Amino acid sequence: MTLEQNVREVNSAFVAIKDKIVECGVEVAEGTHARDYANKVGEVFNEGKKSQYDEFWDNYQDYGNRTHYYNAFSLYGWTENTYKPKYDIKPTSATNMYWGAPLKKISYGNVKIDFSKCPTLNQMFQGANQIGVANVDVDVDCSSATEISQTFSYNPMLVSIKKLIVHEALTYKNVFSGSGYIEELQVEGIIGQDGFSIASTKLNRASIVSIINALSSTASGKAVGLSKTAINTAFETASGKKDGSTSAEWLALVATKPNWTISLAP
Amino acid sequence: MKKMEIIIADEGMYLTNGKTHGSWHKLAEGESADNFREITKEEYEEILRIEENEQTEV
Repeated sequence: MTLEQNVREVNSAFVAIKDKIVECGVEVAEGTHARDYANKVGEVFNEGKKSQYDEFWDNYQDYGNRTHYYNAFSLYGWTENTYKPKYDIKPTSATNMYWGAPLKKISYGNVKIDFSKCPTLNQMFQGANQIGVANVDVDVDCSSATEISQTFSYNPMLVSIKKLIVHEALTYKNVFSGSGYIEELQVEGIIGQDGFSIASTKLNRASIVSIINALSSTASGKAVGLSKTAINTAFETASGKKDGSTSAEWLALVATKPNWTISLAP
Repeated sequence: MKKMEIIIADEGMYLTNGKTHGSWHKLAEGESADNFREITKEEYEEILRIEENEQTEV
């Protein structure tokens, strides 16, 4: 082969490499020297990864149109390495949605998660085999639900619920049963029905106040349940005294809801 | 003057009115301590177990 033929071969190869790089979605600016094509290999790889990410989540979330999220992120396969939703999540069906998922949190990037259109949120963050979501760091809006059942139950990993938005007609069934390590729970709205009972001994003072303040001022014959251990700690009169249930602050707080029976269990 | 009625179970015991259960209760206005009966820890745990088994159908 002559020198001229060799040069033509090499140039032809460079063009083919450039075309293939561009075909893979990576830009090659005019005038880019062929030696710099090697630097583009990493970008091609990343573009491949992104296209695999896009392909999975475009389909799994139906290009953002998915609303039926029953069991969508349940059990062991969903970890920080796999739970990377692309589209906003606005389910109209969310039963078991994060059931037994070993996630530290459920927020992801800029993805908005909105439960306000779910008529049921049963078992949504329930644990399975002692595994479950640790921090529900988005609002759990129960506006469209009439009852919530076992939503946060049997989950010993669960320590924080950013905000539970309730309404006066909402009923509660074993919502927090078996989840004994919840420290934070902010309640917004009005608790108007029986069944709101949280036995976690770790519940902090702000959370307890939030729950009592949310109790309806007009409901009649209703009861709410809390942990006496949590009250004794949260309202203790001096560090270590564990006497909160007899403290003036606690008694003043419960006195603000004369229409409620407030029950404490160990 | 307003009164607030608090009932406390004996050591190791619980009180229930069939709807709410615990060892300490601040009663709602209109609720009577007569509606509560004392139960053992085992009875209390059995009540909780029964309530937890009454699950909403998924």
